[in-house]
Amino acid sequence: MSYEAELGKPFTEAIRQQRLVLPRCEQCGQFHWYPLRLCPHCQADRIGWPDVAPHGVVYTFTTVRHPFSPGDKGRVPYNVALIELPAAPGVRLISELIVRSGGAFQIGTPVSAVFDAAGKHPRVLFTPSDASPDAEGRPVGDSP
Amino acid sequence: MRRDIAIVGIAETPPARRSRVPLKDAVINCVLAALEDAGLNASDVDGIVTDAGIMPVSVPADYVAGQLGVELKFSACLSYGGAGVVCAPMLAEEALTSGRANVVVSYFGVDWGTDPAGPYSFHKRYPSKALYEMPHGFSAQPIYFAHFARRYIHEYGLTEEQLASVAIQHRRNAILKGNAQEMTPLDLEGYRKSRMISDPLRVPDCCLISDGAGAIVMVSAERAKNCRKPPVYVKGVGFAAGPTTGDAAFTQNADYLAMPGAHRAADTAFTKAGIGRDVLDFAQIYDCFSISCLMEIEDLGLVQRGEAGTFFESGEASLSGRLPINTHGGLLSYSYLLGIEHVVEAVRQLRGEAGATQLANPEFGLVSGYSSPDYGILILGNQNS
Repeated sequence: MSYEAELGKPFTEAIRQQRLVLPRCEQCGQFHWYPLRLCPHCQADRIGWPDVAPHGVVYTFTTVRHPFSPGDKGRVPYNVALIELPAAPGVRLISELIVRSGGAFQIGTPVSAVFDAAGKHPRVLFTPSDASPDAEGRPVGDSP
Repeated sequence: MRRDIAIVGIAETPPARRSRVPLKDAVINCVLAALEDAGLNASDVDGIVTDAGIMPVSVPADYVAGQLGVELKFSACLSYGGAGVVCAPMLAEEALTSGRANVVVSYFGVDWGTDPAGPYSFHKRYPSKALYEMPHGFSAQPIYFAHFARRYIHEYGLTEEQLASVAIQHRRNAILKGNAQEMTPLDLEGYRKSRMISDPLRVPDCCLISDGAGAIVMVSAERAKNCRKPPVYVKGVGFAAGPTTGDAAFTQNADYLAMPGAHRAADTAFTKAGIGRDVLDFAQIYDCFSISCLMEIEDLGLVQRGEAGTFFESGEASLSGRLPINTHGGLLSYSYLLGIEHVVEAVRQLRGEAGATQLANPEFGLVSGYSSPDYGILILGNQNS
């Protein structure tokens, strides 16, 4: 296992339990991404992995049409987005965006996580949700 | 008293997708041709400067020194690709003004036209990309820059016509230049019909992929007087890097649409040069994508944030505009050797050797080099004052 994979183990293990956790400094309270041993904001080495509400908004996106490697030939076109998480300020997650046939999305569209632990690299994917997240990252209308 | 240095020799291979010339041969040929251009001999070389990521693996300084049969007194590397190529004079200046070396050569080349996996090989440097990006299909530079473009459109209302005007202007310059790699005429209709790579970026929005090399020779301003060609003086160099790891540099920056380091590198270079942005006669910008060219001229303070699209569309970046950009056609249409050709073209312009794209008596030119999270700026001039 690479040094980076070791650092990010809490993230990948949480995916297997259908949870989203992200690294947050226990000294200054700020999130960061990707995983680092020291907090990049204050250099403290006490990094916690709190649960984060698995809801976000599309910050930017593209539809990839050119297969950049031979293995991608059957995959294109696909949507890949950068997701901001209201519950983890300062973090943006790259995510293949799962869109139902005929489903629409744009910058600002609320999305919810779908956990995919099947592959070699467990993934948190996002899919458009029907309601906007509130300040705590819960979809509006969900009972707490 | 200022102790200046000058670029006195330049060379580059003809732009080509596949050159059939082995990379080591291309580099050595360019180094020898640049020395010839300067009126110097191989035996005069006592310093070598390259980027720190690509050349040390493919054509290291010791190989070049061995071929030239010279004992080096100075050898140094900086950054990875673009910023390292453009900032080579910063390291050379150190050697030439301290007397550590007298003739410093810098070169760069790739054979990525023959081996297109080259540009993607930098991913291997960043294990976090393999863990958190590539499994999602976020796996190539056009995808990263499509993300930037989509967000830029959202924030500033960039139109398709404005984005197209960047590619069209570069193509126009390349055609005029006459020896560029891509000289198929391009207009708005052709742009709209071109293949979409990763929305909203089409084929003409993405840099070429090329084989080739280039080299420059640097000496002190004093020694430059005795060289064959008119000296082109290094007025100011700036290097800056963002406070981010390379793997996070395309997604996590708080100011997402700013190139890390770019503004600080520009400020440093202009301060060193002692000139304002308004006196520039042209700029050779690291146009790896149409959208990056727009973002960069804003970061460098050459245009206001959000106005780069209007700047290109209105012709201000054309050869007859207020600030001509990428007079040779750039990475988009001339050739993609990560900026060495931008430096060579800037020297040609300031010598009056730029042929059909020659500007009228330019005095100051800027070259930018980008290799996220690093950024480099080189300001050149043809008057030693």
